[in-house]
Amino acid sequence: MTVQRIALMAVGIAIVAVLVSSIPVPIAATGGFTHPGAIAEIFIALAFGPIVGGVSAAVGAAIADLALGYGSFAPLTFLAHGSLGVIAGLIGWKKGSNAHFLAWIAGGLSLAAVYFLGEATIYGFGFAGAAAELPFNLFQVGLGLLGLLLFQLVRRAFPQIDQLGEAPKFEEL
Amino acid sequence: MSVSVNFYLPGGSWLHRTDPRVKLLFVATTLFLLILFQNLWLMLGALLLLLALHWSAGTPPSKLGFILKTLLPVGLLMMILRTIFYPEGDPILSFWVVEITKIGLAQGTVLALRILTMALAVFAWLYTTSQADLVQSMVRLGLRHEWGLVLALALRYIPTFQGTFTLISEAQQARGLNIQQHTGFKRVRVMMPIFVAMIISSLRDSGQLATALEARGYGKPHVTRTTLVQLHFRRWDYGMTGLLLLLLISFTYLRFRYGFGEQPLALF
Repeated sequence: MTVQRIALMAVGIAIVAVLVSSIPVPIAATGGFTHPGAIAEIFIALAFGPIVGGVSAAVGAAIADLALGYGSFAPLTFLAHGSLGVIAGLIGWKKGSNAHFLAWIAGGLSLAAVYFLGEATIYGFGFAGAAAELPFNLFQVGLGLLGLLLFQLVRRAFPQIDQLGEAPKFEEL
Repeated sequence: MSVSVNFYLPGGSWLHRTDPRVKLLFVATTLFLLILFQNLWLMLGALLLLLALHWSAGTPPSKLGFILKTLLPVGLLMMILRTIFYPEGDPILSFWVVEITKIGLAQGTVLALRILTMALAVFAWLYTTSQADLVQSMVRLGLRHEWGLVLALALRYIPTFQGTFTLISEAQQARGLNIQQHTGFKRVRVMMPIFVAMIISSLRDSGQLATALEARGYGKPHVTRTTLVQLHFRRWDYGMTGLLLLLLISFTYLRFRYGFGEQPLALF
């Protein structure tokens, strides 16, 4: 693994952890809170591919879960957010805006599906219990749509982003 | 709002002195068994044992209160949903279409206790293990050194980025950005300028970090790595490992051979 990749992954994990744990987004209808973590996860997956995207989303969100006190859900969070990062990265990395859109949909659905199945079966909540969590998870990944916008905006302001994950190339003059 | 990712509570208890690899095995074993068993009495026993463990490790009550406060709402919700939607046996209470049965209630309570006990097990490990030991234990268990470094660096950068976010957010608000008046999707849309600036700043950090690593010769092939933190597996740690494995194997055997802990109320 190159040092560029190590640095990028460390920073990716930290960005996801901060967006998930420290920035509450109030939801008007329920009075509850969600977080903008999916935006960062989608952004990192689109910008740096499935490996950096998957690791950042999985580890970052799991650390955030632990920091918020949801220790029992951290293993499932690791899998669910990791699947979002990997799938979004596989579909959307180095592709056009249609693929980005598809990456968001597929990644978001996979996050919701992993949470739903994990809670219903392994944790034993049953389908009724897992279904109660489903709208929150879907809303949370719905916010990820802004990750596409974030990617466009960051790329416009910081074009070097395309070379960040790779070792610098030196040319002799 | 700032959340701490430094979970370690310094202390000198037996749990602090136990090798972090043994504590990792403890977490894995406990989570597996807590998912395996569906019995109310076993869950209550696990709860008492884990509370005793935290007490002996000197965990302050405020930290336990934090876990309870976070997990109580979701635990209660799951308990109610499970009790209402999956009634089994004779109802002890019924109104309208809702039937509450003894077994259904026991199953619901098991769920709530499972959520709580799993968290207590995870935090028993995190509260008594320093970040350096945590990363080092994973590396010694076979995690590639680079991945250990990624984890250590990420933990180091989280407070930095929390600071960056606050700084940029306040700068934007000083220029008239009004975040508070919106909720949901609109709120996040309004926060976009903050995210853009924060992400670019952190990507620059990543570039500097890569240069710093390279300048120190990190990743040079054919070198022997040394570590500042050494882990020592003592006789006590071997004993604890043996005990944990014995518990894991015997409970799993009892569960699958005799159905121990499968029923919500009866033990066998």
